[in-house]
Amino acid sequence: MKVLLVTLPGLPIELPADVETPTLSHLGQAAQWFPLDGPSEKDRGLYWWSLLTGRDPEKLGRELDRTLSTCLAPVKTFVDLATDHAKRCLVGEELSHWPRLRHDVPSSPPAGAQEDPIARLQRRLRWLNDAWDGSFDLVWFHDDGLEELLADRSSPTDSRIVISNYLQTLDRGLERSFTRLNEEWGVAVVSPYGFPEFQQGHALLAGEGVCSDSAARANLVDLAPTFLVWLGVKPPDSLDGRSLVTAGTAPNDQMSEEELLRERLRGLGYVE
Amino acid sequence: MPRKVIVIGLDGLEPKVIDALIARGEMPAIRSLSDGGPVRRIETTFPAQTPVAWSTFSTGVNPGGHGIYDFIHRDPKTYLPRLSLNTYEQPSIFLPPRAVNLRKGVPVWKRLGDHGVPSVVLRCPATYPAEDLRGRMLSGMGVPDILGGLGTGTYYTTDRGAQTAESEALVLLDRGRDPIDTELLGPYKPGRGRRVSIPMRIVIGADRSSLDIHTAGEPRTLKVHMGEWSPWLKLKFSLGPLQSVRAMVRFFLVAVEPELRLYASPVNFDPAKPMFPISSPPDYAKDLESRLGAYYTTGMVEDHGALNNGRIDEDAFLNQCSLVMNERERMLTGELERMKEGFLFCLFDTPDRLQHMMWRFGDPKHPLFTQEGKERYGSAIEEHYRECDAVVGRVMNYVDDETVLVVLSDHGFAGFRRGVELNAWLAANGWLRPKPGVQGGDKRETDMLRGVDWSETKAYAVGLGAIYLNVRGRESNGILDPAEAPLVRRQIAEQLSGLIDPATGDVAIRRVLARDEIYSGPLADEAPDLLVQCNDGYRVDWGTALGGIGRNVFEDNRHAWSGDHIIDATLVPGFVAANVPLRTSDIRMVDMYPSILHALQAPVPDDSEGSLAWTET
Repeated sequence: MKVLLVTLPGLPIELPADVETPTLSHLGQAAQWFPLDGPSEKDRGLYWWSLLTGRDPEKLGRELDRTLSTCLAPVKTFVDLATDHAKRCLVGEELSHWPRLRHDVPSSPPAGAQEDPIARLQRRLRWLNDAWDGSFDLVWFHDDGLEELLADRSSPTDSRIVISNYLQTLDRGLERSFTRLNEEWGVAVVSPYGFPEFQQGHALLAGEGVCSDSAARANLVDLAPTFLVWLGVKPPDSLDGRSLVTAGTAPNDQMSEEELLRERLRGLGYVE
Repeated sequence: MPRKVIVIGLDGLEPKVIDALIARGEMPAIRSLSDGGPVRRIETTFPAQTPVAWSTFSTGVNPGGHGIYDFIHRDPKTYLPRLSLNTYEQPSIFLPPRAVNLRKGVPVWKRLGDHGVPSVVLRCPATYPAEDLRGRMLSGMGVPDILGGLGTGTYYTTDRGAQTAESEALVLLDRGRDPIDTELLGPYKPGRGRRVSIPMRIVIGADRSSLDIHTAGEPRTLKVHMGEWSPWLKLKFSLGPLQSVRAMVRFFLVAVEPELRLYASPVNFDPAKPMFPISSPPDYAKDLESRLGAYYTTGMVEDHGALNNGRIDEDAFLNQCSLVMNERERMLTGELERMKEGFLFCLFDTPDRLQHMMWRFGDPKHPLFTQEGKERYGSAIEEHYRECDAVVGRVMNYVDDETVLVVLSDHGFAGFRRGVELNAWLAANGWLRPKPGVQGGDKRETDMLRGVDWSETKAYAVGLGAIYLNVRGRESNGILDPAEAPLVRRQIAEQLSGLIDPATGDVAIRRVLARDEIYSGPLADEAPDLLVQCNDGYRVDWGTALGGIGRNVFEDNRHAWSGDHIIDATLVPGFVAANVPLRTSDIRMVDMYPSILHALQAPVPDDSEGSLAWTET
C-alpha cells in the first residue's frame, strides 16, 4: 500500500453549509473518523512530535528537553522509518525544514516573499500535482493556512468569506490529486489539533483495513504506526501508538451490492 | 413563422378513453385540438414504456440510438439487473460519485440551443443528472430518492403485527406511549448498510385526529392532520464528519386509534441543495422553490408503493395525485408566463401512475374488481382525464398565432389481469435450467437470476419483456455459440408467439420480436435479444422483472397496480393533438423531433428517423 497524508491543522468537523467542498465531504463519509487525543501539554511542537514519531512525549518525562520538540534529536520519524525501508517519500515545504526530516526526501521550495494564505495554498497544490509522479510510496501534503485564517479576527465577515474561498480552493486541489489514487492507496486527512486552543483534533482514514468501529478513539501517536502498516513496514516496538489499520481486512458489515440493487429496483412499481 | 413550440406530455393517456369522453361531449380542450374527435393516435416505441418513449421523443431515434430499452437491463458480466436510466461513476473510493445519464443521442433542446433557440424542459424522463442547455431544465423520471432508489417510504405503526412490505421501511412503535420517541430514517451511511437517522418525537393531539412531529428540522414542529398530506419537513442528515445531506419528507396520518398509523414519504432531495444536479442551471431548482414552495423532486412522485402495500388508501393516493398535478401545473404556468420564444416541454406523469393503480375499479375482468370498488372509485380515471383536459385548456390561454401547441401521450393503457412468468416458461421449454434443488416460485432462491444454472441455460428473462440469450463471449458464463444465436432467437420466438393461457383460452403473447426487427443504430447491440409482446390483459409477471423463476407460467395479478401498458406496442398507441393540422398518414413518436426543429427553423439532421408531423404553421 501507498499513503497520502494531508495535514490541515484547524480543519473543523463541520464545514460551513454554503461552501461547495464535494471532495472533502465525500471523504467525510467514505472514511472512518477518529477523534484524536494529543499530549496534555498544549505545545504545538509536542503535537507534531507525537504525530511524527508515534511516541508519547509524556513518557519521556524529564528526558524530553524542550528542544526536542523542535529538533527531534535522535528519535526517528515515520518518514525516516519508511525511507529506511526503501520507500520513496515526497513531503511539503513546511515539513522539509523541520529538523531531522531526511534531506534526501524531495520537497517543495519554501516561498521567499510574503504570501497570503490562499495564494500559498494554490502554489503548494500546484507543486503537489507537478512533483507527484508515480514513484512515491508516501506523499505528505501540509498546509497551515486555515489555522492562520481562523486566528485572524480582524474582520469576522471578511474572514468567513476568505475561509470559504480557502476551503473551496483546497477541495478543488485535492480533487485533482485524488484522481491519482486507487485501491492501492490509504488516505489520511488529519487535523492534529483543533482551533482554537488545541481543541481535540481528528483524523479521517480511508483505505484497506481501517478499523470500522464507529466508537473508536485514537491518539496522535497512533498515526505513525498506522502509516507504517499501510506501507508494509513493521512499526518498531519502541512506538507507543498502535496502528488503526489491520493489513488485508475489509469492514464486514457492508450491505451487499445485490441487496442494495434490489432495494433500489423495488421502488419502480413494475417489480415486486 | 412560429416563435414558440409548446409540448405538453400527459403520460399514458389512453386514446380510447379520451374518445369515449369526447363522444359524451367532454374533454373540451383536447376535443377542440382534435377537430371534434376521435383523437389521432401516435405510434409508440417498442416497448411501450415511459422512459423509452420519451427518450425517443427527445432524441428522435429508436432505442438503438438512445440506448434506453427498458427500466431494467442486465449486466452481461454479472447477470445482475440494473436500472437503465442512469448510473453513478466513481473513479476511486476517495472521490465522490458522479451521476451519469445513460440516455445517449442528441436531444432536441441541444440541437435547438446550437441554433440559438432556447428551451425549457420540465420533468422529461431520462434527464438526470440535468444537462447543460440553452434555457432551463428540471429533471424527471430517473431522479432517485435519498436512498438512491426510486422511492422507499417509511411506515410507523404501533400495530405489532405489521410486516415489512415491498419498498418500505417499517418502524414499530410502543403502544400507549405519548409522546413517542422514534427516528426519521435518512440515507445509507455509505458502505455500511445502515441508515442515518435523526431523532423524531411524535405527540398525539388532544383531538385524537392530528399529531405534532418534533425534530431538529424545519419546521421544528410539524402539524400533521389525519387524512391530509402534511407540508414538507426539511432535514439535515449528517453522513459523517464534513458531510451532511439536505432532504425533505412529508407525512400522511392514517389513524391515531386504535393503532397509530403514520406514513412518511420517500425522502426527497431538497431542491435548494440536492445531492446531485437535478436542474440546469443548478440554481433553477432552488429558484422554482422560491416561487412555488417546496416540491417533489424524485422521478416517481406518487406513492404507489404505499397504496400497493395498503399503507395508505385510494383517497390518500388520489389526493396526492391532485397535489402533484397542481404542483406541476404551477411550474408550467410560471414558465408560460415568461416564455417569449423557443421550446417548452412539460410532462405530467400523474395520469400514468393513477391509471396503474386505479384500473381495477373499472375493469370487470380484473381479479381485484368489485362492484363496491367500482361504485366508489370507478370514475376516478375519467375524473383525472377531465383534470388533464382542464390543464390543457388553461395552457391554451397562452397560445397565440405564433405558437404551436402539441399535446400527446407516450403510450395508452390496458388492464393487467394475468402475469406471464417468462423464466418459468423458458424452464418448462428447456431453454433455462434452474440450479439443482431450486424451486420455481421461491423469490429468495431465484430473484436477481440467482436460481439459474448458467452452464445449462441458453436463454433467460429479466426486465419487462426482454429475453436475453446466454451467449459465449458476451455473457460471462455464456454457452451459446454466437453463430447459433439467430436460430435460437427464431426458435424461441416461434414457440412463444401465440402462447395460450389455459385458464382463459386467450392468446397471452401475441408475438415475439427479434431485436434486429425493431432496433437499429449505434447501440443496437445492447438491446435484448427478444422482446415479448403480450396481449391486452397480460403482462410479464412481477417476479420476471428481476429475473426470478416463477412456479407457474401464468399467475393472476392481485396487486393494486392493476393497469399497465407494456404489451404489444401496436395495441397501446398514445394520442396526439395540436393546434396545427397534423399530416394524415400515421404519426410516430420519432416524428416529433424533426417537427419541433423544423417549426423553430432549426436544421433537421439528414439522417432523421422521423418525418414532419405538421408542415403548415
